[in-house]
Amino acid sequence: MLGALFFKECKQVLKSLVYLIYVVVFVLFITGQMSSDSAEGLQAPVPGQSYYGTTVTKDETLIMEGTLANLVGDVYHNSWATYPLGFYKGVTLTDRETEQAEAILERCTGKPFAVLMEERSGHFGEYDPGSAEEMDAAQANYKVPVKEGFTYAEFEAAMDEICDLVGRGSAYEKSKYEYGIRVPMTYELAKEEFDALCEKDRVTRAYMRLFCDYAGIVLAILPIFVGVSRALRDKRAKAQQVMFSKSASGAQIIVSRYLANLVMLCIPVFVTAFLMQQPFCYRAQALGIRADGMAFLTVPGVWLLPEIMVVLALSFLITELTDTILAVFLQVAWAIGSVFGADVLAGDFRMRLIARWNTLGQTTLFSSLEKEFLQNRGYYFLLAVVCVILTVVIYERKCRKGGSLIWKNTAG
Amino acid sequence: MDISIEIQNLTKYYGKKQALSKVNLTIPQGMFGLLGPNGAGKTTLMKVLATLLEKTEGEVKICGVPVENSRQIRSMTGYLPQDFSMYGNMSAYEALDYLAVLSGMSRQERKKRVPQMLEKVNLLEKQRTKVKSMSGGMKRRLGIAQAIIHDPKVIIVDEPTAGLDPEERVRFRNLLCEIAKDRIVLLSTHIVGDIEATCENIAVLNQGKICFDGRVAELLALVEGKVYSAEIAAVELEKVKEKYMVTGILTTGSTANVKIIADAPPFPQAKPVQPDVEDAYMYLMAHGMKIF
Amino acid sequence: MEKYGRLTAGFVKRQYFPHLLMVLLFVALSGGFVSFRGLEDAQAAKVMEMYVAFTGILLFTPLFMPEQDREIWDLERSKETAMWQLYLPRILLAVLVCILVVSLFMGLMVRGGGSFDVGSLFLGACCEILFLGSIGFFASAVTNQVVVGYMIAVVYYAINIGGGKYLWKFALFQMMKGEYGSWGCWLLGAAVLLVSGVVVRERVRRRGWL
Repeated sequence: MLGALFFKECKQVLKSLVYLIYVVVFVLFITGQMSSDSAEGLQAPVPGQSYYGTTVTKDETLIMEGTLANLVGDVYHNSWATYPLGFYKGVTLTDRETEQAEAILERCTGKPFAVLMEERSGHFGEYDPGSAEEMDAAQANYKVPVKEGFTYAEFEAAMDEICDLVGRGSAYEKSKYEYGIRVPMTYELAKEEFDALCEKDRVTRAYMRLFCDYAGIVLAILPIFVGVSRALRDKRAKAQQVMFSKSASGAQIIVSRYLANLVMLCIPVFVTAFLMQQPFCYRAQALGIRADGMAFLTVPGVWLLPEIMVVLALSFLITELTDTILAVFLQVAWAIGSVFGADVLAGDFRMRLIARWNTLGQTTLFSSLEKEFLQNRGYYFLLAVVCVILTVVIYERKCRKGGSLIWKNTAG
Repeated sequence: MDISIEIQNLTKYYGKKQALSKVNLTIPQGMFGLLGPNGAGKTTLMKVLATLLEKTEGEVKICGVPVENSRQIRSMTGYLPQDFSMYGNMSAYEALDYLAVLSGMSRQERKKRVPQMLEKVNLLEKQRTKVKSMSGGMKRRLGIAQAIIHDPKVIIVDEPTAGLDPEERVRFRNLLCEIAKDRIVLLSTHIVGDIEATCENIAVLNQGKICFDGRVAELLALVEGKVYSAEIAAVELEKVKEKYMVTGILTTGSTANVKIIADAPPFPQAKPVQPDVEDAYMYLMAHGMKIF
Repeated sequence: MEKYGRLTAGFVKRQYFPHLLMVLLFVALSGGFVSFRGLEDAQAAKVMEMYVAFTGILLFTPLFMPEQDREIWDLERSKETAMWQLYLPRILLAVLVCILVVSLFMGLMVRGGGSFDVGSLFLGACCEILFLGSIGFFASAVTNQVVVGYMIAVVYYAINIGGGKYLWKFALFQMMKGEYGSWGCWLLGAAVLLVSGVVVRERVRRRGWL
């Protein structure tokens, strides 16, 4: 029965307007976002280049210099990004608070704020503001050294004071800056990274991580609508009573529906991934590297599948429980919070729904974070399974009660 | 297998509101009519039998199986809800096939039974028509097809003829009689004509209680010799309606022909007439008595 | 007038109330997401365009909720009150609540010692929020599916985060960049979407397609 129901559900999903919109939006979004990442740009670093990209370091001196560089920028712009509840909250300081922040900077660097600003302007003036790569290099190379004898413990205390000024969830919290700081790569490091990209990631895996980064954003939102629309369909079609009266169990009905929707949601993802990885396969071949032709399945399979699973399962659960569109509000808020709440665009997985990796490569960094990443995905996979089980329980209960668990059911 | 429904002391509450009160009923094989005014508890009783509602108290067995055993009960019952509908974008064939899958039928069985059932309910030619484009009668026929497709022992149909035109209604009744040959068809309605034309056994439900359970002839016997017909002046009509239970009026010009239920002849010119189920039902509703 | 008041009150009581509660919750939680202290032009615009804009989606998308059911629509259409007369007071109510929410946020930002052009931001924010809401309104009107309405409006918002350049004068988040001249286009867009939403919906439904 499960198989027959599954195929019938797939057909139903295929015919639904929400699914059509999902496919169109997903394909347009992903091709639009990734159009700038061409396979031609993939080449081995050559000695003597002015910029080799960036990497993350946990060196204490570099953390202090990088964090203070950010601090100078934030004090100057008076625009502080904080995430007190996981969502972005822009904070501005009063003149008195800004003076306090300037004093803290002076204490750390031994230089008045005006001097720091002059140095900053001088540094950025050396780069071409019209080139994105130059500006990346300018940002990555900008450092503010601490004064002589200034210890890491003193730095921590100073950052605590900054946190008191701007409130919770800023980049100056210990947990945030301890994660590491972006620094420019040397030729040797860049070569090491490129070799890792070729050998360990076999090119396509790295590219698929970037694909997953973009796809992950849109897949935190779009499946909500597909799930809510399906779960509300029986009620809208006034078919609930007749469905409930059939001998099929709640598990058979919900699981077949869930799997059908999941598979249909995954098809455009994997098809797009397959098509988009092809130029990288050819490029890898041209460079004499054997690309991983299955990366379009394995990487999104681990990265995106648990995300789609949990988003869909939660939308099923909330909708079956409430018989309303409440899931749309709750889950869109969660997804947007997860998008704006990431501290860095690569890494910082923790328990975030959307795993960001907005970079091509950084293989070594990814390897060091892989355990955390897999834990995150495993957690969402399990959460999805739990949500589906709960949905089955709720559906069974509704079958016995003859309708909603929350709203009143009466009959003549 | 013993084909019957046994209901003992069935009580159902919605919160504090009592919908069924100590209902006792035995439903044998054949067509069985459940009659009662709107809100009497007919749909509640039917939903309890179809395992769509949990009972509060009492015991219900369908063909010897307690209703708590919902999976088993659902495989041997077919249910047509009052407002049957399906996904609008499915064709008649697709909808029936989908519901047959939910009834646990295999691919081979469905291939054979779906066209058979569509033919039986006269929808074979319209098998590609989408549910959203169907008339009320077509939907109802599709509904009965889905209720009988898995060959259940008990078919529960809730107000099946409401909203149908007279021709559709007659066709629908005949269809129900045809399928009731070797099974129970439990039919609930507030349209007395449906019962009169199809059922041998009936029960009348009022305010959650059974106030009659027996054969149609026994119901008619309640008003035997109490139904009169008389011609009166049209101006007298209001006065007569106040004093007697009037079950029919035919006004022609300044006179009116009225049908009255009364223990004794209401006027000298009143003539006793043969009662019908509607008269008996009205009498029962007015007296609210419990007769077995 | 009393008739429209009663009809709208019935709609609020039976369908719209939970959505108004969501708006209230959204406003109540704002302190956790945005700061109202010392905002300058771009920062104040950001609060309006990226946060308060959601109220437009919440307020305008569900205005056809009762009429999703064809039987209710048939019944209402059989009465002498024209359908647009039924929808218009609902739209006006949503506009009113939208203006109230914008005013509340403006007040909070002014109280927080902000230095921004209150008049331009107020006008721009009202028009932009109305425009975003009317996208949800239009989509839900012509598809007869509230879920699709929310989906299209949220997708439109998301497209503007990176792809505003493709949307010409109808791109959102313009005031954050210092562009205050889009309000006319937003208002025009909203008017077109609101009117055409009702017209297309009624025509299509009368032909039995929805």
